[in-house]
This record gives sequence, C-alpha cells and structure tokens, in this order.
Amino acid sequence: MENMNDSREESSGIVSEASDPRVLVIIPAYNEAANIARVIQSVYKYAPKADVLVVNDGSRDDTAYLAEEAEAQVVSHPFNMGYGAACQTGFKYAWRKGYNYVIQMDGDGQHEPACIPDLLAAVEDPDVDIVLGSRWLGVNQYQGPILRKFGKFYFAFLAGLITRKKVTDPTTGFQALSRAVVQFYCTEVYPVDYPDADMLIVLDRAGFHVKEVPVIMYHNRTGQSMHSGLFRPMYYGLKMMMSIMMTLLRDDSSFRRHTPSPIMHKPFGSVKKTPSET
Amino acid sequence: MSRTQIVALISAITLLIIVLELVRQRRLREEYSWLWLIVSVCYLLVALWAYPAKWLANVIGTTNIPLALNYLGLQFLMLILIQYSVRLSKLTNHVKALAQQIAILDSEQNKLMGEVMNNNGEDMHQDTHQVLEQSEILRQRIDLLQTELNKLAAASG
Repeated sequence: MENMNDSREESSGIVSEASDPRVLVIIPAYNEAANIARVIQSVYKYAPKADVLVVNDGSRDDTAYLAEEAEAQVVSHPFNMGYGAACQTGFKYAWRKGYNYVIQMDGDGQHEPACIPDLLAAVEDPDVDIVLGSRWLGVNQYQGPILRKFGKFYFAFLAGLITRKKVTDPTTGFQALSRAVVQFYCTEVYPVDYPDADMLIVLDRAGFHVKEVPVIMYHNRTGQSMHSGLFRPMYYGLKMMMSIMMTLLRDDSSFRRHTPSPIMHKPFGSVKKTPSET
Repeated sequence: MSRTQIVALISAITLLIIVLELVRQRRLREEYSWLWLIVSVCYLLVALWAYPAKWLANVIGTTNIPLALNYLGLQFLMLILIQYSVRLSKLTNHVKALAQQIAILDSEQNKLMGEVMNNNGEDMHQDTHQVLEQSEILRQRIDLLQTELNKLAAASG
C-alpha cells in the first residue's frame, strides 16, 4: 500500500520547487490526428520541463491515441463542445493539478513551439498576468484572407479603444497565463464557444495586466478554420459586437475573481503561491 | 351562457386540472408550473366574465375582443418560450461543466489504474526474483547432499 501512495504523490507532482515553476502546455484538439504528434514532439523539444495536455474535444479520429503515444497527458470530452470549452477543460485541469503557468496553443501546427520560451519568460514577470502571442508584432509569415484580416483589425481596434491599451492581436490562440488568470477562466466568465476580443475587455475589467509578445504563426494549411465559409464570418462579427456590448453593460460584480465551481474547489496537491495571488 | 363561453370554460378547467395534476405527480416541477398556472387562471377568468376581455381590448385600442384574446395568448406563449430558452442555456452550461469534470476525472482514473497495474507488475517481478534465488539455494544444497551421498556410498564400498 505504501508503495502505491508514494507513486501517486510523485505522479501528481505535489513537490513543486520554488525555483522551478510547473508549466502546462494546453493543446485543444478536434480531429487533429494529422498534426498532433508532430506538435507535441516540437513542444517537448523547446520546453522540455513542461507537461503537455491534449484536450481531445470529441474527435472522431485517432487524436487521443496519437497524443498518448507522443507522451502527452490526454483529457477526452465525451462529445464535441467547441474550442472555448476545450480550453476551459484544460484550465480546470491545470488549476486542479496546481500548475503555476499555462501555455495555450493550437494543435494544427499553426503556432510555432519555438516561441514558448518567450511567452513563458514574459508571463513569469510578477507584473504580468497574461501574455498574448501576437502574429502582427515583429516578424511574421502569416497571411490570412483579407476579409478575416480586416475583421480582426476592426475588433482589435475596438478592444483597444475600450481598454485604452494597444493590443495588436486579441484573437490569438497562442497565450501564456498565470495561475490567477487560469483560476479566473475556470469560472463562468469564460465563453462557451470561442474566446475572442471581448475577453480582453473582461480581463481589463477584472484588473489583469495583459502583455503582448511577437510570435511566429503559419497559415493553417490542412485543417479548416473555425470562421471559414460565407455565413460564419457574418455570425462571428455579430456575435462579437453583441459580446462586447454585453460585457460593457455588466456591472463590476460579474468580474469579481472567485474560486471555480463547487467540486473543483480544492486543488490537487499543495501549490506555490504566485506573486499575483498574494 | 353562450356556446363559446361553455367551450372556453371547459378548456380552461381542463388546462388547470392538467397542470395541477402534473405538479402533484411530480412530473412538472413547481418552478416551471407557475407560468402555466397564471395562463390557466387567466383563461378561466376570461371564460367566466366578458369584462376582462373587453377591458383588455380597450387597453390595446380595439373593439375586436377575439383579437385581444389572441394577443394575450401570444404574449403568454412568448414568455413561456423565453423561459425555455433560459432553462436551456442553464442546462447547456451544466452539461458542459459535467462533461469537463467527467473528462478530467476519467483521465485521473486512467492514470491511477495504470499505476496500480504497474505496481502489481513490479511486485510480481520481485516475487519471481525471490523464487529464483531460493530455488538456486536449494539446488546448491541438493548438489552438496548429492556429493555427501556419493562420498558415503564410496566409503561403504
């Protein structure tokens, strides 16, 4: 029995060295069998100390199996729930297991894992709560469709206008989060479908400090974008306008930071307090 | 009492009984029932007296009483539908939270099961080692006894 308890404590990583913060790389994945193994290997190459979690969002291919083969931890949704829900599952997992920092990135190879150390270095600054990887700052190889580019610029401009902070790429899915933001995202403030420019305003109202760091992004070659087609961009635009308006209309109490849902209230193992929490 | 009034009265009472009976049998929860109760009571009032319908027609600016009644019914139906949408949103959030929690707990359980299996494997490994060691010792003893026996046999001639 003793033997079993020991190995359990070891595996849940209760021991966290002060000099060595625990980092979890969250990869939400839906039918990403073609790319997932390569992405995980690449992440381990550039962030050897980090743990990788693949949130399999009800894929109908071998995504979960391939991710496990590539030595990632895998959490599988019983059915497809969308990008936002998959990210939030990852945050809940990270919060429960006591990770200090979280990197969020896509599983389709669009985000360059070589940029992870940059994001981590930026989020380890105690004055910064969340770091957004921007494809528009510095060098970039990203060339998306012109209409999408326009839409994204428009919402970036709007979010910047409201928060009075310059943000070039609020729609990025390549981010680094501190534990305080992870906890905040575990509550119902996090959107079910897809988080976007409106989240910037939410973060601003909750008093978090956002920073941008240039990252390399490639244009999505194989997979289908969440916003492709004729009607989806229109729906996206309307939904964004509504989200931003509603966020502005809510009162401050809805942005208070509180502990996530009832059963998840106790983290798994002791946790080192991050500066922003104290 | 006109024929229409009788039909309306019977319909209203039937609706009221159905709603109350469903609540009594716990097939309809109280929180969902109150809007239906209001609807059936209003229906009953309108069926019993002509005055409420006339008053309503006056309020919405028409002399057409059936139109006023249609208007009232439509408003109630819309309210009930909105209530459904709200419940649906709430249920969607609950389903999401449950699915997320199941997914996380499932991954934890898989991991623990894996560890238990591995531990059993190690134990078995150790046992095998011990058995092999013991059998080796026994074999050496048998060898010794064999030589002793040979010596004794030789000595006895």
